[in-house]
Amino acid sequence: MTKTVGMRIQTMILFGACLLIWLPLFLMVSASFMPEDELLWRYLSPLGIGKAPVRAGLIPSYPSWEALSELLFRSPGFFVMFWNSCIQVFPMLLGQLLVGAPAAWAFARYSFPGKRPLFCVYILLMVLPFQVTQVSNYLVLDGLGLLDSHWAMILPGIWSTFPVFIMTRSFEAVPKALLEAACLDGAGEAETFFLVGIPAGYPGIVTALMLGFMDGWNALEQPMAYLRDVSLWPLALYLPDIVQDKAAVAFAAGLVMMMPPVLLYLNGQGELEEGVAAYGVKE
Amino acid sequence: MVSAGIGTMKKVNQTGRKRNMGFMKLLRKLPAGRPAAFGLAVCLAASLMAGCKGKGDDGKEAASAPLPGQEVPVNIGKDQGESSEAMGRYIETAMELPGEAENDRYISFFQGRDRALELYTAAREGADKLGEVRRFLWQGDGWKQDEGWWDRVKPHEPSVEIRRVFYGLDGKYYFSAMGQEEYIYHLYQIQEEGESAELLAELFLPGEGQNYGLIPPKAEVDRDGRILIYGMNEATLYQPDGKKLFSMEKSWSGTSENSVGYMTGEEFVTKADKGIVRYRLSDGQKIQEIPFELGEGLLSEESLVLFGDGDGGIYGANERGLAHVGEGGSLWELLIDGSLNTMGMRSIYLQEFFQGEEKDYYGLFVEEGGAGFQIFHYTYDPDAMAAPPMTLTVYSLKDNSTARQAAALFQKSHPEVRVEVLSGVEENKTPSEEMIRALNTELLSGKGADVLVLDGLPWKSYEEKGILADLSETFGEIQKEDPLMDQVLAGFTKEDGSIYQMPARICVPVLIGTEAERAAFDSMEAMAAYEGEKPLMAAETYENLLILMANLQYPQLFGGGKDDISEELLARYLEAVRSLGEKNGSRTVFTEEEMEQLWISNHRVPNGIRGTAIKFDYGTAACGVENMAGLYDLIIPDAILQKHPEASMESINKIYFPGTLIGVNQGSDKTELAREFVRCVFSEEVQKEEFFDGFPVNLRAQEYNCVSSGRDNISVGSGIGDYHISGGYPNTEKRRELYRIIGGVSVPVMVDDTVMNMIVNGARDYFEGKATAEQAASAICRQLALYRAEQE
Amino acid sequence: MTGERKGVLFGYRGSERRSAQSRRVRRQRRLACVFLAPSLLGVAMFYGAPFLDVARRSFLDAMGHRFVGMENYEGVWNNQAFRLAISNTVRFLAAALPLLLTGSLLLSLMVYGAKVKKGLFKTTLILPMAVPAAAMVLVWKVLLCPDGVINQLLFALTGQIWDRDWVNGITAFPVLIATYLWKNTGYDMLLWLAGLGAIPDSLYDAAKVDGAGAFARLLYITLPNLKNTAVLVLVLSGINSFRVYREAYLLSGTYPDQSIYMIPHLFSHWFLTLDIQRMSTGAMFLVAFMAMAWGLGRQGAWIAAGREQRKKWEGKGRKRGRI
Repeated sequence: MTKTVGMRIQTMILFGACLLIWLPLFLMVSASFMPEDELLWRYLSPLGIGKAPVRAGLIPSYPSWEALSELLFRSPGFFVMFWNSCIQVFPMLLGQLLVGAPAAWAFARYSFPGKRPLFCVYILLMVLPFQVTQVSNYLVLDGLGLLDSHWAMILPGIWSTFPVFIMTRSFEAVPKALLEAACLDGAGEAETFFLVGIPAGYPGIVTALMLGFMDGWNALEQPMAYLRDVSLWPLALYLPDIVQDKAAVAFAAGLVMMMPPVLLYLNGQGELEEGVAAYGVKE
Repeated sequence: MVSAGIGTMKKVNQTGRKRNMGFMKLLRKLPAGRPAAFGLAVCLAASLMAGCKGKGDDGKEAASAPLPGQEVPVNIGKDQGESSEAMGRYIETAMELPGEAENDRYISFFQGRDRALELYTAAREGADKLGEVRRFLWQGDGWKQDEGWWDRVKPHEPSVEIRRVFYGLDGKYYFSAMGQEEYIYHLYQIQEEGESAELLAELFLPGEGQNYGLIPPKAEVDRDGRILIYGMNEATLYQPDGKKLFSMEKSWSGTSENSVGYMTGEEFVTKADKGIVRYRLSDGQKIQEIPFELGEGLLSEESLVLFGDGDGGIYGANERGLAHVGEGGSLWELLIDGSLNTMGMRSIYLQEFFQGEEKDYYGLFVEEGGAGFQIFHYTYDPDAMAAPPMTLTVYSLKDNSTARQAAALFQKSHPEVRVEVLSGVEENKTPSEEMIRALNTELLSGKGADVLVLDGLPWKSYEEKGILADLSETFGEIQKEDPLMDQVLAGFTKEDGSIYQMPARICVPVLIGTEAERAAFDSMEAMAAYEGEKPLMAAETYENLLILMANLQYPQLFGGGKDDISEELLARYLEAVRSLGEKNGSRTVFTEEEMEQLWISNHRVPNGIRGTAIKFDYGTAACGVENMAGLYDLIIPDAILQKHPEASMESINKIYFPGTLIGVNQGSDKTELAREFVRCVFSEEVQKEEFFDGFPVNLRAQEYNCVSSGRDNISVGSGIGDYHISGGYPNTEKRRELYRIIGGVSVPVMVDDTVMNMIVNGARDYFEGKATAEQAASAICRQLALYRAEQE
Repeated sequence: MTGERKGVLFGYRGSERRSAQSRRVRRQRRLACVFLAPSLLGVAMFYGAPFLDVARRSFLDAMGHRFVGMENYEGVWNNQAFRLAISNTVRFLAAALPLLLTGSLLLSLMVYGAKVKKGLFKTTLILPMAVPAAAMVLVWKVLLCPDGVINQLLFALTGQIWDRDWVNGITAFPVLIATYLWKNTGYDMLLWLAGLGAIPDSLYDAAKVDGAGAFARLLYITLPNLKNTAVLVLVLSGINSFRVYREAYLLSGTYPDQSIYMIPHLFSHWFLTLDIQRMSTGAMFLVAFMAMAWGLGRQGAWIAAGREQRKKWEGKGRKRGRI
């Protein structure tokens, strides 16, 4: 009896939390379906144009596809930037996997002198705000001749220490028994890594890549600093550009921009659970 | 609609560069319907790995491996480092104008029968043969006047003046004309024999109870003799007998003569709000809409000339250059880089552009204000360097016309140099801090643009940190050869004699009023204490009033350019603004209704000066304050002064607003060239042009502005509701008078934006009655203290 | 963390005792090299070198031409703006991190245990981090501006006119914390969930057989097993607290209310005025503070854990499957 009540309370709390998230998001989504004049009528004050009480609404009075269609069908720039984002983010994720996972494995499984300090250094490098190293990074990228190319976004992203950090944690949690079993079966180190480590550390890897994707997708300062050529700019820079004069499009762009991470998550979520399940079976 | 464009863009781009001849054909093969999936699939396959090489690699490829006989179009500002060895570029040569037409006004320039070049000009007002139009034919080496032409075609009523001559696709000549007395538009077909025949006469007559009839900015005739009449928002096709066929939408255009669009045998191509559209002439249906390229801004500019390539493709020309798109394609390719020639100059407007015999083009430019015109011929020179070997970069946060003009002229006199003008945002947009940060990153790395336009940049820090080179030597030479205003130069000379930056333009706030009002502007207390029949200033937002006061009373508030302001002074300042505002009904924010009634908006205006001369004339303010940024700004105040003989115009506290602040990057490896460019910016040649961004500081340019002619027929009107005022371009004497006022200013005002924002934000509570002046002042002071503490 | 430490210790000492073990250790080192090398090279180039450059710059003048010794350190340490920013940042972390960590943990436990709509909850909770800040800020303004929804609601509730500008004055700080929580709770939840997923079900099953209740299972199985994740979440939340600047900046401008003036504000202004030497020095201070906090945290954990408890945990951890 108490159990079901507790369950219900839990569910209610969760719904409450979801509501807190849904309501503001709903405002945004509905605003992206408003024609420009309705948007102005409702949100004159927050847009900083004039003063009038906000007339918030979760459902547009005159729903219109205008903003979305303008964005999707009449702004080739939007698509170029969308594509730039893809070019910059996906190779970066691939690289993070190829470079980060072995490194994380090394941190998690092997002992070698200086491991702890090195790991601390990795964390420290992750913690510094971007601005601090902006100029120094610029010098490095300039020295390598990478400025003003997609590589300026991809390469530093690949070696971000952030995924290493997350993956290390997940590899550490791989049960020793599993590894010993692999060892007994005569698996080499590489085999152990690929056949046991990767599947068992799957949740962590997927989490790292998910978070890496969100970071890369929403990166703003880096492209602004290292890409002078507008034609290379990723989607994240489309937004701040138009907020004032095209508010409806700005909302719509926000909506479109958050779609890929969400869709990816919805896809990755299944994978993630599958990974966890597979790991359970092995156990 | 557009999605496939991107998908295919990368591929097309590369191929296009390699084989220019096959470019159009290739484009035509691309599917015009283009489902997004197709585009994305191509992308995924082609550019996931190849694409991320970045365009640096693409550029190299295009530059280092030209095929034999290949024509490599000039690249757009990219990878000039690598492509410096690439050969082939369009070269601009000026075409001599007929000697007889030296002082003439431009009428028309086109390819007539057998694609021969024809030029039509008319005598200016004041000449003996008023209204006479001359026709010149190009003979291959010079112009020859067609002597009998005028007598053959001249309109019968002498009061009808020819506006434009054109050649119809039906092989006949036409001209449009205006009746000068009744102001009615006429369209004539020139007959081989005898009198010209008027067409669609009824269409242009004023309707019942209307003063004016239809005055189309442009008309064209198609192969079947049907007539296309351009309206404001649409173009309408008529049968020769006057029967209306259909209308096609286009972007709004005024009554200017170069309304954008052209007809081919089957199509009408024009500019719509969101892109270039193609209409089928058989039924008026839209075939295709090619969106403007975002970011490139290639075609969205105002002065755009469109023309066909005779093969279904479209050319677009404007100050960025000449761009082309093949039939059915949507990717514009820049053929001629406008920044390398006259096209990029800000002082002239592109009026006509068309293709010549082969791969050559003709462009006609009209000087600003209609003073004259020039024709250029663009021919492809395979032996010329694709881009000049040296590049000088000029950076400005906001697009700057003076810098662009100087760049265009500098390149003409230094053919070995390409001047690249980079700007963060367009002129009317707000730049972001990230742009400054990106620039700072470059500067700190010892790189960055060679010449900096410092408006909106943290110039104080640049000076302190040694980013800017000392230009005292350069300005010393300039002062000897082509002197600038002494007091302005002195204002920007440091105590040790060094000069790190110098304004190329100045704006001057002026007061229109009597002695009593002038006295009121002496101090902020006097402004607050002013009592008169009418309030000193018209109603305004408190935000703008604060900024206006900070600017006009700059010496009192920020004495000597220091940002230090005591809490006590700050409180008095807020009180003064409030007492000024209470007398005239100012608000923190106006409602819609009030805005309409008071002719006001809630926007922040530059320097807080809205321009209130009209309100002075209308009677809602005791005086008018105007920020003069060019001679055009004198027209309305001058008209008002004539109505109010008791009032006069003077500068306010001798202050001026410096603009287009020029500095040279100390870390540049081309400082000599950069200094050379600085001389160019301050030369009479650049300075004399007007771009509405301020007055020249060059004395000869000022004198030139006073005596130059050609704008006499310009008039400007302004008004709201029943009230209306208009005036003509000021004569030499009035211009001299204004320059006398300008010559008297000596106090440069540069209010720190951060400080101003802190004051505006902190004062809001006070003006809304939620805090006292002291509380607001102390809150502002806390913020200011933090601001200063950062730099300690 | 402890497991790893043990591994290191064993590795060292064992290597001198038996040759078989020393062979193993050498092999491990070699393998570690192979696995780590690609990452190490890139990290050194793209992060290590810039970091060293930052450290170098903290001893130079603005343009990096002249050595100034400790001048920058002295200047930054005594800089009032720096002190304000540091104290605000610490205050913010002290207020926001506990809320964020406990809140996201509770939510993740609930989601993990939820029988219905699990997917919906998860997806919902991670939405906020996918929304670009620029679009979200407009929504916050709709809610928080003087004419906004919050004030209207309060008016409806109290009958009094409310025209508070929530992003300024005394409410600026809590509002900033709220936006931070809104954005990051889902992020952290994702991490907790990954941690929870890594706890083998067999542990719970065994506990159930032993008759342990839900609370006992939480206390003795779930929480101890989430310790590593806790460190991860803590560090990442700390990093993300720097990113709250974007919201703060878009909501209340470059110079916000002084209660939410943080390190990124100061750094950003220093960058604008080319005071990169100060920014570098400030960053070195930050690194030092963090290293100190890290050390203190570890030491504190060590002491608090106590020997006895450790033994107890290790006994329990028998089945937990750690090295």
